[in-house]
This record gives sequence, C-alpha cells and structure tokens, in this order.
Amino acid sequence: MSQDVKKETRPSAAGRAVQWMIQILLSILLTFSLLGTLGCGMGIYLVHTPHALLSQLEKQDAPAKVRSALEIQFAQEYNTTAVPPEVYLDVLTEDWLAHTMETYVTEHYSTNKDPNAIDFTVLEQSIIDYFEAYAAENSYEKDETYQTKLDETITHAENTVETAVDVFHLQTMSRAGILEKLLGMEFLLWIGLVLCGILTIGLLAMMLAVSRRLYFLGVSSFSAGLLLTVPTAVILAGGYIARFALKDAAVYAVCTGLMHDLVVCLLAFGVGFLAIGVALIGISVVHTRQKNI
Amino acid sequence: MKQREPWNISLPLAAQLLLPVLVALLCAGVILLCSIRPLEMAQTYLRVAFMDSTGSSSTSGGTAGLQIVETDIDTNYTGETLSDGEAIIPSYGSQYAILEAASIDLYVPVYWGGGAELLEQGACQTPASAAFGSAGNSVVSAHVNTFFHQLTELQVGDVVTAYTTYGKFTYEVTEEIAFDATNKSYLKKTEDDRLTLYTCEMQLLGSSSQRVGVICQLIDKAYYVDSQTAQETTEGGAQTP
Repeated sequence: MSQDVKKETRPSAAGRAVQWMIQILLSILLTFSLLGTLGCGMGIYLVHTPHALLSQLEKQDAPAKVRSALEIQFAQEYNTTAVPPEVYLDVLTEDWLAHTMETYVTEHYSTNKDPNAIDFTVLEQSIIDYFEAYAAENSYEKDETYQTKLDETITHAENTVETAVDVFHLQTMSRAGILEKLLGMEFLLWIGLVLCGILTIGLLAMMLAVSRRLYFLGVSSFSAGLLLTVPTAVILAGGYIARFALKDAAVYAVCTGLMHDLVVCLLAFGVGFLAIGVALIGISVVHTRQKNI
Repeated sequence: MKQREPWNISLPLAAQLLLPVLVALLCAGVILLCSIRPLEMAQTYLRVAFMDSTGSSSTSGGTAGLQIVETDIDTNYTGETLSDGEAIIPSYGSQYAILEAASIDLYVPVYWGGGAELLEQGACQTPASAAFGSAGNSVVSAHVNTFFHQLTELQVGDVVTAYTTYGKFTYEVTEEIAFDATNKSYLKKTEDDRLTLYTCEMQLLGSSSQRVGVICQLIDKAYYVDSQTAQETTEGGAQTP
C-alpha cells in the first residue's frame, strides 16, 4: 500500500508578512469597532431615556439637598421679603421635591415639553393664605399694592423653586440649544451602533476566516480594554471629577455622581475587554506552543 | 508525516506578548490625532467646568479662601487704659469686636468683612469704614431676623458699647435713620467719630429695599495699655534690620 505524500505548501516570506499585516489591520479595525459600539451604546443609554439622570437624583439624595438649599435661601431672603421661610418650606416637602425633580427631568426629555409641568398649586396657596392672614391681622385692605406684592412673591417663589429643582441645569442647556442637539443625536447614535455592530461581527468573521487562531481577536480585545482602562483609571485616580466647578450641593452631587458612574462603567468594560483579551492571547499562545512541540 | 497548517506561523513569545501593547499604542495615537481639534474646541469649556485646580470639593458653597476666625474678646478688662491710641485692623473674616446695648439686650459678635457667610455668624463691619477707635464713620450691619431684630427699638440717648481686642468704645444714639438701599450717604466717611448701625426693614407689604438703623456718636474711648504696648513692640521689631 502506498501512501500519498502530500507536499507541504508553505507561503513565502512576503506572503507571511502580508498575512500578518492584514491580521494586524483587522485587529486595529476591530478595536475601533468595539470602542464605537460601546460608545454609541452608552450614548443611546444617556439620550434615549432619563433613567441615568433619575437614578442619580435618588442615589445622591438630591431632594434633601435641594430642600436644604431652599431653606437657607428663603431664610436669607426673609430679611428683605418679610415672608417667613416656613410659608414655603411647609409645602416644599422632600416627597414633593422628588416628584417635581423627576417630572422636570422627564419633561425635558420629551419632544412635546409642557411649560406648566411643575404643579405649584400648593406653594401658591400657602403664600396666598399667609398674605390673607397678614392682611386680616393688620386690617390691611386688599388693594392693588397687595395684589402686586402677592403676585411678585408667588412668581419669585416659583422661579426660585424651579431653579433649585433643575439640578442638571437642563433649562440652561435648553435655552442654549445644547439639549435639543444632544437629544437629536439619538438617531445618529442608533445608526452608529448598528454600523459598528455590523462591522464588529463582520471583522470577527473575516479574522476567523483568515486564520482560525484566536490570537488577533485577543489583541483587539486587549487593545480596546487598555484604551478604556488607562484613561478612566487616570480620571478616577486624579480626582478630576471632584474639580467640577458648580459647587451648589445638589448640582455638584448629581453631576459628579453621573460622571463618576459613567467613568466607572467604562472602566468596568475596559477591565472586561482586557480580561477577555488576555485570556484569548493566553489560550492562543499555549495552544500554539503545544502544537509546535 | 505530521501536517502543519499552512498559516500557522508563530512569532517568538516576546513578540506575541508585545504586539497587543503596540496595537493599543497605535490605536491610541490615531485617537489622539483625531481628537486634537475637538479637544482644542472643548478646552475652554472643560477649563471652566473643572476650574477647581485644588481638587477640593465643597458642598457648602462657601466663599473660597474665606477664613472665619472667632476671637476671645475681654468685655471685663480692668487694666490700664488710655484715651488715645491706635486701632488694630484685623484680617478679613475675623471677629474683632462685641457690640453691646443693654437697653435692647443686644450682645453680638462683630466680624470684619461682609457677605452671606459672615452675616450668619454675627454683625459685620464694612472694611471700607473706620475701625472702632479710628476717626470717622464705623458702619456695622446685620440681618434683621437674627442679630439686629431689635435694632429699631434703640432710642435716642441709649448707650452702645463696642469691646475690641485693643479697647472699649462707648457711643450714644443720637439719631434714628431710614433710607433706601441705593442711598449710600449714611455709609460714607464723616468728619465726626460715629457708629452707624443698620439693617433691612421688615415689612411684608412695603418696599423690600428700605434700610433702618441708628447713628451713634462716640462719647468715650479707652485703649487698653497692654494691647498698645504689644502693638508698639510689633511695629518696633519690624523696623529692626
């Protein structure tokens, strides 16, 4: 019986170099597509729903901080307005503030914003009751001055509360047109996510077709992980988020909390990609060594 | 004969371990190159948004750099006194006096400076005005709902005493005043030595920009000898090369 001896066919040195260059190029492209997919996904999470912002309101105990700030402000204004802070604070409970803040954030995310989204009925009634009691106690006639002063006090109180509950400064961003631009990017982000996703899958398939080795998949994953881990670790370790300039307690807490959670999330993905990359590279190296023995 | 896969060409181990890092550096280089322009545009906003270079965070929203210093002021000084001397100007934010008016049970600390934070601690003296014991108009204000809530009960003839670290100064109320917040005439320098105390007028249905207070004339100065000696020693020592 004769054995067919197959001649071993090995690529030339130039061919091997070309193959390696193709693999490295595909790895680089896969790295960017992984980062792009992740970036688009996180962008959609931020602009599609207000969940990230709402969760920060609860996590940072924003209603309590806002109430504390309002307490200080109304107490200071008492010197000039003569309206005791209790007139406002008795109705501005933490539950009311929490509900109002949630409504405010949700409303800014909707396409049809309701300018009267915040219900100030209880606040208005409290101020009206105080003025009526004051007028009755001092036998003050409810003339034009009375009505003007009442309207001014109500308007000022509503503006103060609205400014206080807007801890993410969405109104400022909306006036500058920034909020609409950001929310309008959702469509582009979805397109980006789909394209990056298709590219990722396509590149994975191409790399496996060119070579069944997992090594270059590991290289892509490792690179993506390193590019996410190093900057996020530097940001967290350097305390850059804490340098946020708006030092109002509630604003500072929710904004830095949101930034911190986003950076930690990116770090977690980075560590995950690093781990997958190291694992795939390790498996590939060990497998190759064993096959060559 | 063992068949080898035609494309299974392996690099040395060191190269295999180094390649992922090199690819990462290459990708980082590409990202940095593409980010130069957007970073330049965003730099101004980032600098403004994260301008706290000390890295400290403050949840109280206080004035950066303000040091509020409470001072132990002796209101029962029994040592020697002089009718002439020099006022010792404190640092901004320091408590430098205690103001007392027995007729209305007034006993408040006085801080050198102003602003919301200091006004929460006590009465504040405008640094632009004359320190107690110096020539001119010493201007002190406080919130009407806290330290100066009974200020309007002061009457002509009542005595107001200012205790400082360097002396005790006695004033007598000579005039009750009321003025608009934009009217600075009562807060300006004067030829005579006086103390002007004022606060906001508490009136629900009136103008919220009214100020009320009193003008007091200086009737007695008593500089503490101990503090004057200490002041001279400090100044003399400073001149010695």
